[in-house]
Amino acid sequence: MNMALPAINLYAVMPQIFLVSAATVVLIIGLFERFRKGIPYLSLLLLAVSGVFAVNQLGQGPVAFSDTSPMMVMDDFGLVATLVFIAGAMLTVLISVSYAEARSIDRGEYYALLIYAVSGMSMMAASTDLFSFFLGLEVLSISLYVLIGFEQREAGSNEGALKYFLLGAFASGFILYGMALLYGASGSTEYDVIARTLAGERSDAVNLLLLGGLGLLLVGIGFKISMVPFHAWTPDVYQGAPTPVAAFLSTGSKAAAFVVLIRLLGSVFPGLQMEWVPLISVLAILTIAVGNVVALVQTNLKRLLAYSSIAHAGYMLLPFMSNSQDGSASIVFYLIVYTAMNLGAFGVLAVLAARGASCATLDDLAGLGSRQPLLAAVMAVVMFSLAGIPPTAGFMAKFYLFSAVVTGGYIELAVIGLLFSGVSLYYYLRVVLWMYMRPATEAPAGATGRLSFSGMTALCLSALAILAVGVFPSELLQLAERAVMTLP
Amino acid sequence: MIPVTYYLILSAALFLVGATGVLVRRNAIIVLMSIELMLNGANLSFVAFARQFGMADGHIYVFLVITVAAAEVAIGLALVILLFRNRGTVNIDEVRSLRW
Repeated sequence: MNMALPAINLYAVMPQIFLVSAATVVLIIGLFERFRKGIPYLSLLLLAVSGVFAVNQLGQGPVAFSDTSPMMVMDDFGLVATLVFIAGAMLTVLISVSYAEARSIDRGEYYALLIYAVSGMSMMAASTDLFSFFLGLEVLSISLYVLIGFEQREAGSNEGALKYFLLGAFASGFILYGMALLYGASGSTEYDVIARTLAGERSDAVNLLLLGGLGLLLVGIGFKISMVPFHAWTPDVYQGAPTPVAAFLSTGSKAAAFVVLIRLLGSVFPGLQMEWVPLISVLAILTIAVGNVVALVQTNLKRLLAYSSIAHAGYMLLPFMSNSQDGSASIVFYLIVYTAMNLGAFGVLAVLAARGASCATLDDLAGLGSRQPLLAAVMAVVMFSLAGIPPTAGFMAKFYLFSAVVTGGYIELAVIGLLFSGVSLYYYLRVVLWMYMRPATEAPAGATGRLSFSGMTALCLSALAILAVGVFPSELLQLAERAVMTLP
Repeated sequence: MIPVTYYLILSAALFLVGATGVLVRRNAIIVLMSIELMLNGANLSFVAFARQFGMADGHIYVFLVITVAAAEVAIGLALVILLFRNRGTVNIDEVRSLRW
């Protein structure tokens, strides 16, 4: 067998290389006890620098990692996604600082694993080959397994980590077997080659392999985005995980899986549209219904947010049916807004929990409006945005998303989605009601410490971003549109 | 020479045995072993296809998957040990404190 070394272009994977090195630097410096206090700020700095690098590479047109077997490509789509992940990770670091100190999990590995997870997500976003997607997914998942179980002495954290691990590894098995079938059908795991196989004449056997491969891939990715019927792990894991990690899990890892789904369904599998559109539409509606209806009866805040995140995943599945640039742009826009909203919601819980007050159920929020006016205001903005009430970003995101679904010709899907979105008003506004209308039953014990400054900075930033995007959405929408323009 | 279909049937069987094991068995360690079976079922079809096409990339993928699986098992066993220390059990049916 004759093998020539392919020419590779390291410039195309600069963002990923930088993130991995940043994580390694944080890991090594974190070993020194005397630098412990500085680690979060070092992580912030390194994340910011990698963000600046990624911004610099924007708009340069696709650069493939290698011409013979591309594996990864640097295009605006991957870069915008990477920027969203980096921004999400920076907010997560900010809300982690006081929480990690209070729970004494403020070790270097925590922040290093967070950055490793971002590098994995960035690999997923840049991948143009099923195999680099799989490796990115594993880098992300393995970091998350550890992060979820980081509170070693907490039984809930152990349990959440084990559940996420067993189901995550199970899902990886499905993805890998699906990849093997697609490899058998097209002789390669490259997205382009698979798309070409789909476009050409195909025999029955190849067709079967392609269908089986796509089905198994969708099962695996469905686990990651918590699509019904693969959503059962979500509330347990969010409840058990350290709150900042739950924030990161519900935004970053879900966004990464959606970004891959945009590449896969949008440019690789349009040839099988007849098969997957009915399936995904039914599952999307089920996801929206289950998420919204079960959230109605939740009193635990993290579980409520978990079911709300299931419902949001359902909304984001809707535009895939029309498979248009508008649809993909609206998903990217929704992902960006969703990241800010969910980090804000979990962030409020993390900042409250870091003071030592228990913040698990709705009753713990009673009277927050008078006790902590600023924190309550942030939570109110976030809840309005999650519910999709103007003038918040959540309204704009839902508006673009549903209008893309309607122009795609799936009016009945949009109507069902909007109806359930109306149902969601109940549980989001109930949180606001509890904060402002219910008097605090008793002053929570131990809640004497001051609110963490870095956490409040992160929360105010995300609340301001939500309001700003709600009033002036055009800039962000243009960014999302520019990102999907580079997709084939 | 054994036709490639035989390998594919074997790999599908391995995968199914693994998947059934994950769903049916309740001991966390046996579930881990079943997940390994699923991954190796996929590996076998990668190798079989690679031999049929006469290409090296399928073989290389298998090496990468073995590495990833090793990392995954290391984390998984660590989590099981932590759980055993805290709860004294590795039965996943007894681990259900997170409920609504």
